[in-house]
Amino acid sequence: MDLDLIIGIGGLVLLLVLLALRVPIAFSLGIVSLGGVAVLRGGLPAISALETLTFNFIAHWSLSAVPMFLLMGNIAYKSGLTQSLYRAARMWLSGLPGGLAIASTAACAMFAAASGSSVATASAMGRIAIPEMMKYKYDPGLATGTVAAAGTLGSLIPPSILIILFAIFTEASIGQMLIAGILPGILSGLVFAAMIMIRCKINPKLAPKVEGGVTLTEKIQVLREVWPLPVLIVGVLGGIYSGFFTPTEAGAGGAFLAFIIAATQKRLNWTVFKESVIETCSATAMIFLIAMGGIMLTRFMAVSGVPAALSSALGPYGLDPVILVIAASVIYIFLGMFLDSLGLMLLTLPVLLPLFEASGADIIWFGILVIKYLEIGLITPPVGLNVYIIKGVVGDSIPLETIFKGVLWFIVADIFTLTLLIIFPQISLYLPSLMQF
Amino acid sequence: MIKIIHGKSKSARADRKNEPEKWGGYMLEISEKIVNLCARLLMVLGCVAMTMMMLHVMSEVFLRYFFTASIPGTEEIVSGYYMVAVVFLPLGYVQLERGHIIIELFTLKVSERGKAWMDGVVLTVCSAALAIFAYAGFDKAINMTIKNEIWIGMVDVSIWPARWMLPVGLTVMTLMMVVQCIREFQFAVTGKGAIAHRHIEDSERV
Repeated sequence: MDLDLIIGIGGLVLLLVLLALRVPIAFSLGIVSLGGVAVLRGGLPAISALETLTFNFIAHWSLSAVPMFLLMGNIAYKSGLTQSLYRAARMWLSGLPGGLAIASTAACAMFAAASGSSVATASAMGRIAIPEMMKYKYDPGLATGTVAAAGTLGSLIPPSILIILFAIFTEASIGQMLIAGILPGILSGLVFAAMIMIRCKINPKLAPKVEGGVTLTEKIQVLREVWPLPVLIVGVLGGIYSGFFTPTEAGAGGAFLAFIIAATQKRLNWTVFKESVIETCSATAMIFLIAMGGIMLTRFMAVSGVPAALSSALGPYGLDPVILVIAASVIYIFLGMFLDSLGLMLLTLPVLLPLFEASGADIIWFGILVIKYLEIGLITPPVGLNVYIIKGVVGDSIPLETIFKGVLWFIVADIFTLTLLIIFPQISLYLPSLMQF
Repeated sequence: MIKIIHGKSKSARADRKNEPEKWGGYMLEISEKIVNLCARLLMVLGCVAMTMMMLHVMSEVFLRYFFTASIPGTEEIVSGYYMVAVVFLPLGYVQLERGHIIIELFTLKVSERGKAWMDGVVLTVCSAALAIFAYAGFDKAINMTIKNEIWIGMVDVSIWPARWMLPVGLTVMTLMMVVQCIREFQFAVTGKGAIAHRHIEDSERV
């Protein structure tokens, strides 16, 4: 084996070791890649690449969609616009078997459409929906599992920060990638809802019926209160879909209008504004520091030739997209047990992407599958981040094992959705194929 | 740096019983305050850039659709200035809040002091790497200032001042890590002293 390759593979191993030793993800990626490039190409070129690559990466128009969408989500959340979504979903859906759980799923999906983050979705909805389900004596596993799993819809339903970063790393169209997430996101939500309904039909003890009917007037009343947020979301997505706005413009407009909506509903004050902006700034810096590490790793991998070697080792199998996708699913689901989603995506793309490009399959389809894998990774033990978020919300009242057991059903549902997405690429590709640009 | 702390800790362990918080004396405390202040200041600038980005892009869209006009240089200013400000200036503040993600799974069983030892070493290595990054940024910024770097779009926009945000943000983050590193070792050695909270705001994560 040639030396470059050994250094490349050694670097990846060292990277995993550093991660386990509490080195921040961004630094693990950056230090290993900087060291690797320095060994392979010399110290000065490595340091010069460090500045040039990162500055050119950050100073990029399309990247600014990330802070803008984060801001939109933060305003909607901090000003309380999203809280009323659950109330609305509840009024409309609580009549179904497992109605509150289905309402939680629907509210998560809607919240996901305002926020780009799975963890934020689970944490926000967990606080509202779980106490409500517990009040009606829902099975604790079902109550917590629903929100942990439905929270993952945040990464698939646009705007999604992971999807934007995927598109930037793969040089795919951000607009098309975002739109591609819509149908798979809705499908995941529907599969969750169907699974909940079937389970509650078979075993009604899981979800006792909610007493007290809601009149149609009340149902319409609640819509009057929540309509601005869904309309804003449809406007943002419609703007991207029709090519009327770039994703950055849609994000900026969305954030601005979220401010306006919050102000007209008398929910905006200095604290809300300050907290939204500070949180967005912190998150942006944190996310992009990791992304810069990812950029460096891409360079290191390219220089070391690991992806090319992997490709030739796979031989003709490496050219079959379906085999690649299944191999990738094994890698993602295994590593997803230990790593956080953004780090995992940026760690694996530099190796997997060249393979996938060589196979000639559609990169948008691959992207949606990767995001779906990352979502499943958010709820698989031992490091299902969303499960820990929910644990943080419920405190000592529900043990961790109960939540993981509750989530198990949703993992099965997700594997079903994943199979559909692999067998029918059209689910991911239909909407983007209609776009004009 | 580790060695100095070690030497000091062994000789001074006895007298520190009474004043465990004063490791490194007032010098360290004052430097800590200065670094924190710088980090907060840069964070404020980052927040201003974030707000400006939203307003600037909105105005551009508004003008384009209603008056078929545009603000010249929007793309260059958004990508060259606001983005760089929003990404690099808050880094020190995020470090102050310990907001950079680490994987804790494999060290759950390690004692608090053991973790402090590990984090001290990690911070030492990371701050060294970050110092290299900051130096690279500084070098480039000087170069580009001399060359008077300009991006040519609809109008010419001077970009060299933006280059300086990179070394500034990174330097403050480096200093923040150095200060935190000393505190980690203090806790590791003495078992006393304040360690910044290790928890991460969950909504900040993707």
